[in-house]
Amino acid sequence: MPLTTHGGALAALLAVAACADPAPPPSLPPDPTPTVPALAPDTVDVQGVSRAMARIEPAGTGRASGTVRLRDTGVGVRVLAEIEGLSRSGYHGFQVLRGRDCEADPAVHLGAEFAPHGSVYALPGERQAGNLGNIRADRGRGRYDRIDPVLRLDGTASAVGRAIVIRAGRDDATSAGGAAGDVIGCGVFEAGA
Amino acid sequence: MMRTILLVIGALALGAGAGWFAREAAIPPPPPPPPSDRSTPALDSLDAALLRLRSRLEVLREPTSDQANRLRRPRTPPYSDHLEMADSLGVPPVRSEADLAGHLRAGRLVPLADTEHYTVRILEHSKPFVLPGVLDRLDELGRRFQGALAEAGLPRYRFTITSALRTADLQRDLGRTNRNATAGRSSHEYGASVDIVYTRYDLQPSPADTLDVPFADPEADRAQRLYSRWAADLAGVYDDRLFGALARTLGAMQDEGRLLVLLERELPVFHITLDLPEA
Repeated sequence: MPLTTHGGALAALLAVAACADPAPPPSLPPDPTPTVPALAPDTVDVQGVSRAMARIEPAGTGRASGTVRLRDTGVGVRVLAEIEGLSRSGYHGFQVLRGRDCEADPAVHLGAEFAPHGSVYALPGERQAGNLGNIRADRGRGRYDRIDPVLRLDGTASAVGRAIVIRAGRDDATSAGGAAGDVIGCGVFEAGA
Repeated sequence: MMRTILLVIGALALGAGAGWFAREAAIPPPPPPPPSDRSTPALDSLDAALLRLRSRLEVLREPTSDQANRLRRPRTPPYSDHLEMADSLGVPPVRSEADLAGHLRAGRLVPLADTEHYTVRILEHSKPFVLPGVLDRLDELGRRFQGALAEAGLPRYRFTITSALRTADLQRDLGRTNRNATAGRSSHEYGASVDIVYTRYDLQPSPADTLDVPFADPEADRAQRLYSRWAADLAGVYDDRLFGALARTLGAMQDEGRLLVLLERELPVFHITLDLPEA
């Protein structure tokens, strides 16, 4: 075949290529690193707190009242609660909320952005810090004493400034929010005391 | 002439081929096959791991009557021995939170929190604190218990503590509702005793419990979560077998003078007290 024919074909190919759409820019592969949930705008970085207390007052139609004390023990936060005005012999969900007042949604607990709702005995990472299980009532009074390995007094996930609620029913440790019924008592943790 | 005919035939063949390819391209691809009800590598691995775990729990021995009875009265040291030992080793009975704070500052009592060997339940009639020596013994008990389970090819289960330090007030309060609680002084008041319930065990996952599943298997995470959940649930089904392993470990530690052990009559608990024969 004559050389001029090759040259013509090449020119035609170049012309076609010049008229074609430009190739799309190369795209980056998706980043496999899991995204860290953004901190909520009301987040406070609490530092230097070793104890806190909430005074529980009746809420809604409930009559629960008492105190919840938090103490840093070095191996976890001791949660000591003494509550009155409970049922005669039932279990009552006991939860630190993500919210900072007693109007907050009782189904959203501290640490909800990091872990599922779970048993208070679940391993760290498998429960929300605010899921404290249940207080058992004995003739209307309940006592709760445990060193919690997940709850914190310091940092952005501190319980300080958060609401704590007593619920009318038992936290089932599996349903989202605990499915524990109405709030019958509530308080907000303050540092010190 | 022949050349022209060949060229025409060639052109026709090329056209037919191109048409065939165009037809193939126009046919939509077949729909994906329906989800298979057969297993995936992750589910196969989960199934095999649970069968293995169940069979190993099946062959773990419950305590023989001799192994259990040697931890019951009259063959085990009586409660008065626990009380004497606690009195000789422990702190003076704690009367208040201020008392407790003083003992904590002085290091005579230490916090009792969950570890890889045990969990501590929500306490209603006691406080989560013990003597440092009790903490050491509980860690030793946990290591030996989990060692016995490992010998049987079982994962690390944690035992459960349901009672620790009591004040006189809490002891009195308990006595009103629990016939098993002693009237008067209790060895719990000295920080030297704890109760271990023998019907509750939690799984402490370890790398050995990781399912053998290709990393890219989309069901790998779910299968691993289900394994942990079901392995924990199986501890409830086979609590009598885990009770056997715990009873044998406690019996051995009592024989070695490490602990005093009393298998209680009315509650499913071992009452244990730190034993220091040289004290």
